[in-house]
Amino acid sequence: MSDLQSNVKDELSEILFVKNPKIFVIEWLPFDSNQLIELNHKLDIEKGSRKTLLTGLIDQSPDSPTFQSTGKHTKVVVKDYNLDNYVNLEAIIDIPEQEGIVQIEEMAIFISKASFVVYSLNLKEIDGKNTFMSLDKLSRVVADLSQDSSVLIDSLLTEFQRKFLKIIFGNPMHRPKTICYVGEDINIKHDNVNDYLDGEDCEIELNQLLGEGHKPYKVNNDLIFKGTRGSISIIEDFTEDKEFQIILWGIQQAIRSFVDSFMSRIWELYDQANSTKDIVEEAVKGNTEALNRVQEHITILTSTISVVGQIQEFLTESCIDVLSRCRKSDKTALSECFDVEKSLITSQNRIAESEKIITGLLT
Amino acid sequence: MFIDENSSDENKSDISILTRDQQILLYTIDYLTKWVRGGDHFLQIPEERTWIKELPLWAVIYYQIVKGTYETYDYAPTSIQFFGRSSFTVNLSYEGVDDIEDLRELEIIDKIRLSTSQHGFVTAYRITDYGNKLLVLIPKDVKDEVHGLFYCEHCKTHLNFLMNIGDEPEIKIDCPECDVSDFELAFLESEDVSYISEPYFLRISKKLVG
Repeated sequence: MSDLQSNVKDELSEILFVKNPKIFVIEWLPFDSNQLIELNHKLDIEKGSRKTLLTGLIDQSPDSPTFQSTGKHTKVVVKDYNLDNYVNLEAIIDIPEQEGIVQIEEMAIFISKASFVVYSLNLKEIDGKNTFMSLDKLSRVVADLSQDSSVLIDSLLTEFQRKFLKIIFGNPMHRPKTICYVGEDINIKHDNVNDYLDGEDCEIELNQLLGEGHKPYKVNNDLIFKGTRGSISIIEDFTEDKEFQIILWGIQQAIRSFVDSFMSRIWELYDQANSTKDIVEEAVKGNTEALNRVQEHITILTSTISVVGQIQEFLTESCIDVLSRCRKSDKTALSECFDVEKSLITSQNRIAESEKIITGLLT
Repeated sequence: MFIDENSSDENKSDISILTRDQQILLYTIDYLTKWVRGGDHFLQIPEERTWIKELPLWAVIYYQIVKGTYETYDYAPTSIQFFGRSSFTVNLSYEGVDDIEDLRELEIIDKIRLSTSQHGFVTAYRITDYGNKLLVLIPKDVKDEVHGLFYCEHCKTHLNFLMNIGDEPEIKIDCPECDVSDFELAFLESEDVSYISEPYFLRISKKLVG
């Protein structure tokens, strides 16, 4: 595959390289048993595991015998499922790329009724290079994966879920995701992990993937970097327990990220409610233009607040579910490093506090 | 701005604390606070009140990297949340971000954070009095290089900077006169690399739901 190309306009200075990286893209999306059953019907799950082509298009002309597709498809194979609890998929993304760019993008997708989705893959090759892959190039793969995973899951969501995402993010194709990288080795090793925070090349490359302010940890023989956008774990023996701790941390980080966006939206609604009150007062004074606008404003506002209230319920249940799994898991050096329970409790408190504001908006 | 030919050795040693890339960055910040405010006719607002926001500054740094201005900067696609909602991939230079921090530590630029009407935060920068003293010492060739990038290669008109942050954000540098569009700013478009992946099925999926 040495003819694999890129269209990067600049010469990259690549410093850090990770061996045989696995990438986990994790996001929080509102799912419950009903949403999952709906998804499983869409996948035609009872008819076996043949490949199904999916699209996010809605059939707007039910009476028409044909329809036109966009050329953007996802091939999906169901590997394992429980009708109202989870589904495990294999997906092949078929999105046209620029000339010279070859992307053979296959990933696993795990969707839980506890409202988290994990897209996971082994990266075999970037630009013709395998084994050790640079963080600089990884950041470009992940930018692609973040966008493509949004397109992919969009074809699996119900209209109900799409509406949720549109209300929180505006443009649901662009939403934050948590990325966890796991590699078997790293090319630069420091006895003192704080040497990675050199203020120069190493730290800058880690910033690219994890965001500024990330922290390194040495846990027995493993090296962990935690940041606001995700984690990098350098682990020689990637046991199931380590996989569980990394994914659990990614899920709590995805919840936290969603709660950030959720709270921003609530404060915006608070402003909109105040502005609607002003219009109502104008209408009461006899302003006919305000009178015409007021009904529309109130309808949109109450409908949005109602959806936000439903999302709050999804978040509450999801947090309880993930927290209980966290508490049941074995305490290890790695679990202490990730400290998922503490972060989840913080998110849980924020979600609980949001209820007061939502109730206030409705009155 | 002009070069003070008679500047003292002490002042010259001050400017030597900055790398060439940091000098370009400093002069760019100065230039942007004036340009974004109205091209060459910028004297109506006192300079000390003008701050350049982080996002347009990052976009211009990217533009300069693609034009080959910096010696040591590169960029990487980075997910940035706009105003606490949608998350967009931008081509961000962390070398540039690091140098902005270095200029702050040296008290050459100030940083301010302000709330937005969408309940997010915006960061902005301006040059300090000390930074203004250093500005006059920046070599002419550095200033000329920065200046040159903001004029159309074809008709020599001063370029426009346009920023529209909505559900489909747009950040552009273009010529108001010229139809030739050589300066498309791909700041919001991530560049593709070729890659091959295979699915990795979680071994602990039952533990997550069982």
